[in-house]
Amino acid sequence: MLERKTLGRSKLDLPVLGFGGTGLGNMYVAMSERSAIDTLLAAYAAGINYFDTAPLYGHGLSERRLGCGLRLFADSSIVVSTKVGWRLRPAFGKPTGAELFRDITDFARFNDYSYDGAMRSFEDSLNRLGTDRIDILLIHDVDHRNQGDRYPEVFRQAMAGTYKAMLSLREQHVVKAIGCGLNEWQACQAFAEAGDFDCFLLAGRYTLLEQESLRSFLPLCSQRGIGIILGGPYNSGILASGAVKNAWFNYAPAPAEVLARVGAIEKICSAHGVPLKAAALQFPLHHPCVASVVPGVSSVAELDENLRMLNTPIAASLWRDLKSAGLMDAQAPTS
Amino acid sequence: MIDAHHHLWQLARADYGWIGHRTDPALAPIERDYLVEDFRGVAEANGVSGSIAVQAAQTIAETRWLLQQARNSGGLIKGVVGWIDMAAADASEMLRDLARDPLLRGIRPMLQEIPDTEWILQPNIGPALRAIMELDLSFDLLVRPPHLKAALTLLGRHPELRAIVDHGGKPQIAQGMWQPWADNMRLLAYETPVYCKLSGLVTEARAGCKAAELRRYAEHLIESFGAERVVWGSDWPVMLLNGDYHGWLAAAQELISGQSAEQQSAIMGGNAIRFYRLPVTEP
Repeated sequence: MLERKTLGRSKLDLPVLGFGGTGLGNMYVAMSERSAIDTLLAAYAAGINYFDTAPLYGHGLSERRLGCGLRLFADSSIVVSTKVGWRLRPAFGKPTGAELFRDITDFARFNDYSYDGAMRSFEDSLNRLGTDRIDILLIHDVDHRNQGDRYPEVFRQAMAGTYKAMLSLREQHVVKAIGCGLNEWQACQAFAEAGDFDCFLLAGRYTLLEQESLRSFLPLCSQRGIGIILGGPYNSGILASGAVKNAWFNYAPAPAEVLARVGAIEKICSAHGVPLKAAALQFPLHHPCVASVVPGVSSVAELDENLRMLNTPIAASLWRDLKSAGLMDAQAPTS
Repeated sequence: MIDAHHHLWQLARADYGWIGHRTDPALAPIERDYLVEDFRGVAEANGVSGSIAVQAAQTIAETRWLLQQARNSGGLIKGVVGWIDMAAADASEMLRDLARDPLLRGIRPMLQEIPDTEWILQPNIGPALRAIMELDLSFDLLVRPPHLKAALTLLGRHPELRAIVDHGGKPQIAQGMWQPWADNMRLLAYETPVYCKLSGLVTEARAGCKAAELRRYAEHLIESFGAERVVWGSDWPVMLLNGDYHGWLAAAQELISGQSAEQQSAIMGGNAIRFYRLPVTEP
């Protein structure tokens, strides 16, 4: 049975391992429809009843596939999070700009952080998911990595538009929790300070590799009862693959200093007989704010591997050794 | 709207004393830099068009730094409440020098940090107080309930001192404190022309408090001082320890919703413009 944790003050009860929906959107590799359904069914059978998706992932494909799964599960205890910020329009033969997503639907994406845009996006998601309820709604990609120099302006738009729309949806009990899904803890902290958010889906910024968010952001979350869903626990792959050639970090090939650090972490892990992947998957869950880790899944085999990694016993001495080697923040909760 | 009370800090400046040493875990959530662009993000998203930045360090260097931030804020920060050592022999000269910058709107000693609750009544503070009045600057009273008696004496001695009580006099809301705070605030309001900031109440309340828990305190302030002497401020980033900017703004608007539209707009901006003599006409 999968352990469960409460997502901060939202009181939503999540399995510690959630289902990251980037794979269903053909991120990095294309999944077949059959494999998508098989993977969803296998996850559900394993007790994973929390699924994260977004209009961005495969430009609608991830939500559509998850919708098929929801219909098969027919289970009202399923928790779904999706996002607002990217909207989709038919491409009519023009390029879709899919970048990391392979073999996607004929839709192109565009950013829309207005109030009306958020409402439309939410309804579009309900349609693709074939459901009348979404539990968690997250503002998507308002961070420096995605917005560059426009970040301050887009932040203001999102607070004046998307946020107000989400407040209204939460007041009407159409969604249970609101937050942001971002790649930077700094941007998460800026939103937590500006508005009344229940949770954040933080991608990659509290992992075995980096814990800078422990300084101010996670204390703020503890203080205010804000829950964290931890996306990208493998930092785009390098904490799963190890420090190999062509390892990926943060959606791109890993730079040398990251490879070196992962190599050093890997060495200590193997001295303890623990796969790097197991340490990477379990580490974030020791933080009281982190309710669930949601690695992206692209096959039943990957899913099974994640479950095995989650259940691998890890002795406290591993965390101790990583801390004393200076490879982990001494303040990181590890018990 | 005008936010009449917020701070900025750059921890590497290292003169803050109370924050930036990573010794108090309770402050960890706000132990990072808060600069003009951070403030602009929350201000513009919430329709706040101007502000007063208030000192957070007991150094003249920080006041000069704040003035520089205000100058480079593209008109967002409309004034600075700074600090001088009011007990120093050359306090008046320091003040005259600082006041050459028209962005300096007032002075705030950190009275709450001084163990002697009657420190402000010492004779050697007199020259600095007179200089504040001569230069037509204002005076922010950062006090806790035990200081309120001394504030009353001070303002009785200097009826022409343009003063404002920060954060409603900091009642300990989480502990349910009412007296002697309530009577002393009422005395101050009735017997002196002092203004009062509707700010900082969230920080004194319990975590996750709602507008309803603050209502009794806010209503007492508005009833005592009248809508024309109450000035809204956020106390950002300190208020982030217990809430978010939009949440406090919405709570404040709800707390004053019984006032007329003119009175509400005065509390949310007009009074700050008048009190701090800001060079703007529209709140």
